[in-house]
Amino acid sequence: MKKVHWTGLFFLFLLSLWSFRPAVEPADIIINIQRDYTAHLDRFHKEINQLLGQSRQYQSGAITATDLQASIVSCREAYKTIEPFIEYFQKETATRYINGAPLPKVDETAPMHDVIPPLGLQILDEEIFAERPDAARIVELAEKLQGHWTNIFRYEQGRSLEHRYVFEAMRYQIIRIFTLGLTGFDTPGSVNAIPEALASLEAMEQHFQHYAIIAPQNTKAITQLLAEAQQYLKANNDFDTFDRLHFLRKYTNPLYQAIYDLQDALQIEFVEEADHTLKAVNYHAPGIFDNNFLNKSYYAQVAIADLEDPKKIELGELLFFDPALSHNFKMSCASCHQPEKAFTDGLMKSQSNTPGQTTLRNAPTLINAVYADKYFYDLREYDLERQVKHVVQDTKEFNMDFLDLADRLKESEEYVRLFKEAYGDRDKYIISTWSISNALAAYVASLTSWNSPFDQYARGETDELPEAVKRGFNLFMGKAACGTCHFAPTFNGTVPPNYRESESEVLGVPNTADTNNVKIDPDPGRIANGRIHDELPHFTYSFKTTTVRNVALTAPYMHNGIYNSLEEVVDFYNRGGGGGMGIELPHQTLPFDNLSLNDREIKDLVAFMESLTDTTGLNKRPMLLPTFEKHPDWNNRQPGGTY
Amino acid sequence: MKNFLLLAAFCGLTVLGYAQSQVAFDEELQISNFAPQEFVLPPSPLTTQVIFVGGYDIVQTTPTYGNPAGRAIAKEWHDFIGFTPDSSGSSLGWVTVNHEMIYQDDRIGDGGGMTAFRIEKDANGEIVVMDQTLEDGRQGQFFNIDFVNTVGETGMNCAGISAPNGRIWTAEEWFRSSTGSINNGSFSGVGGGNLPSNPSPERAFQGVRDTSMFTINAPEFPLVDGKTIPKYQNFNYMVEVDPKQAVAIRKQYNWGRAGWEGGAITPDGKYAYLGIDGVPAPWVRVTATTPWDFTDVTVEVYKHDNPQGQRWIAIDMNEDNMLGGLTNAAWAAGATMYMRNEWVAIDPATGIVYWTETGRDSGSSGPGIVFPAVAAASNAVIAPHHTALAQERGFADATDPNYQDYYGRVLYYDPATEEVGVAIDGGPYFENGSSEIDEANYPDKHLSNPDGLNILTIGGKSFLMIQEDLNGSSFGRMPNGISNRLCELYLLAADNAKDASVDDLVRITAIPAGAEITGAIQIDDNTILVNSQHPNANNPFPYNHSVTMAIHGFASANVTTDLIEAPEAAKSLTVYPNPTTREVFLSETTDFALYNVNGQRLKVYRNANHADLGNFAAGTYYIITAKKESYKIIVQ
Repeated sequence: MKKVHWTGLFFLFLLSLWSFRPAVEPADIIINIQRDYTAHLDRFHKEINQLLGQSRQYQSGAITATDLQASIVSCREAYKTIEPFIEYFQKETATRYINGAPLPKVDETAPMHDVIPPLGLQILDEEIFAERPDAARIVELAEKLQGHWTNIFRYEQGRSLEHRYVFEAMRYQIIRIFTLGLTGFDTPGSVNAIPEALASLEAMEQHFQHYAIIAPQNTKAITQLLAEAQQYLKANNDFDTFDRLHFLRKYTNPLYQAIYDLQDALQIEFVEEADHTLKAVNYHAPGIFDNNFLNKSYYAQVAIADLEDPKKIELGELLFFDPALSHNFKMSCASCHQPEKAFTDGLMKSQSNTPGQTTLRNAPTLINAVYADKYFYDLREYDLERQVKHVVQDTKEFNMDFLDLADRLKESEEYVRLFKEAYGDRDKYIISTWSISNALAAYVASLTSWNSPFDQYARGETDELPEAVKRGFNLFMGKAACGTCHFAPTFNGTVPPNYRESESEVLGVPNTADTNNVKIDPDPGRIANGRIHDELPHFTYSFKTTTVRNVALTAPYMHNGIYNSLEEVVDFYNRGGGGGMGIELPHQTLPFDNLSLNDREIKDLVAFMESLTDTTGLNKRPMLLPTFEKHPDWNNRQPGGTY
Repeated sequence: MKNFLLLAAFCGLTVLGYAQSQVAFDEELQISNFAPQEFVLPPSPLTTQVIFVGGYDIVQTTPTYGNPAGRAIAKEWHDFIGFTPDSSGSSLGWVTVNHEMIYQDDRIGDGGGMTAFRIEKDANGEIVVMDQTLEDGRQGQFFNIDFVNTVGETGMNCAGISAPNGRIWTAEEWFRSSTGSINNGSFSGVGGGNLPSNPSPERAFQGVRDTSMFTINAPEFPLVDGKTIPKYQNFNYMVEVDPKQAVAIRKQYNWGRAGWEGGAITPDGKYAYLGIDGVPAPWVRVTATTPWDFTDVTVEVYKHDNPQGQRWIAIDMNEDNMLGGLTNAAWAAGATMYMRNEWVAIDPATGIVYWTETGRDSGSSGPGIVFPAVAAASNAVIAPHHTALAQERGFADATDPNYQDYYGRVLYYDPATEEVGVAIDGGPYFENGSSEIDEANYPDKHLSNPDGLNILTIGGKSFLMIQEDLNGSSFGRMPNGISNRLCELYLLAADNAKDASVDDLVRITAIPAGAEITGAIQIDDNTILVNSQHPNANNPFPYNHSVTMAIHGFASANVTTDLIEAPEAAKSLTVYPNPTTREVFLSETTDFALYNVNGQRLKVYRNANHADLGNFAAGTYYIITAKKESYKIIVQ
């Protein structure tokens, strides 16, 4: 009774606003969005409680697995209506407890190890849709989900929204739907990806409708696209055949731009006007395949002024090809990273400085390598400047004391002049371990490429793309599940939509390409990288997800270079990785089951990967290196080295 | 009833929305359309100076692991700073900087590290790092403190003690439980089934390579002297160092083994109060039998529910508690449980002891899980402020598995009364049991996960220097709409440090944008030293690395006014520019935008009462509020 009374008064209050004013004031918009958000929060809160109740009923045998499946599907769809805000405001809590990948997570904020087991909606989706669901485990997971959610719910009920938050959260959601949602990333069990995208777009349309009163045209551009996208999802609801490339060009790109246009038209402040810290995503880029979509400075942890200074890049290029960086004057960075091979060397594992011996792993491409929050196959370094010293000091590589290297370069008048030109204002660091590292970082960060035939088509600059490539992309992002680890647009392990974290995966790569009698490659990978927070069982045999861009030029493949062709690589995944081939691998992050790809599908996937080739402007080598006046014997060294 | 509250709140919000909220501020303005009031923001009296860059500056090393004495690149991750005044007057004194990194290094030594150097000031008041020749013959400016050849390697040197008489201890926070767990790369300390062997453990980069048994050489501690122990048991002590000769003196075995973080010693040299970064952690006091002789001590833990006068319980420092682990003995004694105790500081004016309890929100070791588990296995009791906070959030008490301590706090201990209480709580404040957040001032201004702590004395008045180290950005630990973690340095007047609120905090912004500050310590009337700990990606060198820097200018009369009087004065004025904090305060919380001299919008502030102009060049700026009030700010 009381409830009715107050609700009535409330509507009276709203009514009074309408009656005293000719139109809804712009200031009401955010209040209306907040009201919608609150209603969506309430809905999800009820769904969580219902899921827990249903889980208990399933445990007691009162309902069937099918009933419980309906419950998780409906709960997840409710989550999709609040996902943009929860992920925006409560990022790490959402990842750990609400809808993170069904993998263990590490809390790195304390000196003690704290591994958080998989919790939340994804692991529940997987467990509930398992062949034989484990009722006790499901109840436990549902209880924990409810507990963590209650903390967030309490906080979010008091949330004050601002327009900027709405626009940013919704643009990130557009990226999320395309890169994670529609690839099936967070629906490992139900594969309910398309209805979930629908639920999310529906809620988004509801929010944006409120802007119609102050910006009818810009708003209509958005709501119309949202309505059409929903119709498209309804009409094309088969996961395996869904045309993701069409969706990208027709809805994802235009929506990403249209939401920006409305924000701009309304003169709502952009992120840098409220938050001076650099983001991985450049908010002003028009689309996710734009060459400025990601900020390389964010990843390199080097100021953009340094990365864009031609003097530093040119000096870095000289250093990159100069074997004077190595102890024996024979090895340079280009020994293993050759521009003609997209900065790889064509070897299974690179040649070490000792004839007949190799380095630990295959040389990865450096093109677009900057777009990662950690570097090396085992993710041991997080900063592109500090990355350099690993190569300089490694006994198998340059085998050089870094301080001695700085002293060596000071013996060349030309290097002294070049360093002065590039770092003259840096006082005691003009030729130092820092300036050497900074110049090399600037050069490596300059090796970017976003103009492959596929990129041009994805951006809508051309309508020409072979059908096999289109089919290949749709397989990559759908049925073949490549895009759930090789994320668009980098097609490496940098996780959308914030692109702040690089993932590694346990694939079970064997020690040879022989598919009979397979044995795991003995390289332990990430667990052995020496970072204390990575020294955990689930990082055994775990390796960084490298980019698929320019993969046509970077054979052989995998961290140990066992596969010579992309067909062999796809075949490996098609068999369910090492686990699928019989290797005992408890922490494999790749599903063990066969992908059921037929020969044409494998060909299409390869065609797509080959369409990601672009090395324009990245093929040059310096012809001359600086001379060392007092060491004529050093001047016989070859640009690029002699390996 | 709850529905009523929500509805009432919602209606209130609606009205508030009408009064203050504005969709947008014009991207460009015709400034001539306004007749702004003019205010001047004078130049900051504070200036910064870079002293020491980790990872790139060179330290002098002793003969180590068979390598001759020589040079090496300094370790990184600067945390604590110790300062040893020079009583001879021939210099300012000696500075010691902790390296929290546990990297392997053939010349510096494996594990953690510490760098020492001597400073003086030139005629301009700038710090000069002096050239020195040490007794062991090392010559240079920066010196690696030799642990390997003195007391054995250290691990994760976080905070420590900078005693009033200049004695320095470094703390080994990295609590280890097996020899495998110090030998990263072998991962022999990792559980969880069949792990492969590492084909190249020499590439491990972190941890300690020498895992042979360790023989203690400490005649001052007869109970353990000469004992041969597994290597890991030689980690996790408070370690005294000699900052003048850059060598370690002793591991403080007699204080016990624990994940020590910080500490402070009373001016009379009688008590050391110590923080343990544990989940949970006891509050520890060490009493010297003879002042300043900390080789002969009583170790006690605090129990809040004992009668006054009996709250410190002595621990029998037998061999087990010395080399095994102190915290289990504390729980057996019924000690009070806290959640990650960090740095400790003593206000010289009052003798009150302050410490940071940084909090924990991780699922498997959050307070609501760990408190009941430890209590069930021992006599340990839960700190009452956790019970109160849990109840405010709607839980029965702090044993609810969903009770998490997101924000942490600063606590005080009054030696006169043996009372412990909250100096300032982190986080936003909830009305009892409801979801209403006091957003009037939060999270525009926010305090979360305080970590570093020290005392600053300006004009005879004591301030707590509180430094955040965020455990996360969720639950409002960052201002709304700011996703990167950014930790602040705040001042809190010590005479106000009981149940204080975020309103009482004064933010120090005299540092490059994005540099996060820790280790703050005052070295004279005019200067504090600070470390930049978690460098921000887009700062120019050296601010994208670990840096020790000085902030000069605290002796300026303006600073005293700006930090002590201004926060009060600001409340009564429409606009109040504060030169020291580089902030402009408005008398009310509202939406406003900042424009440059050409009328181009630079920043928009929502639901805020101040603008931080710390990183704006000198020039003319305009503030336009939601009510179209306009102010001209001349930044000098």
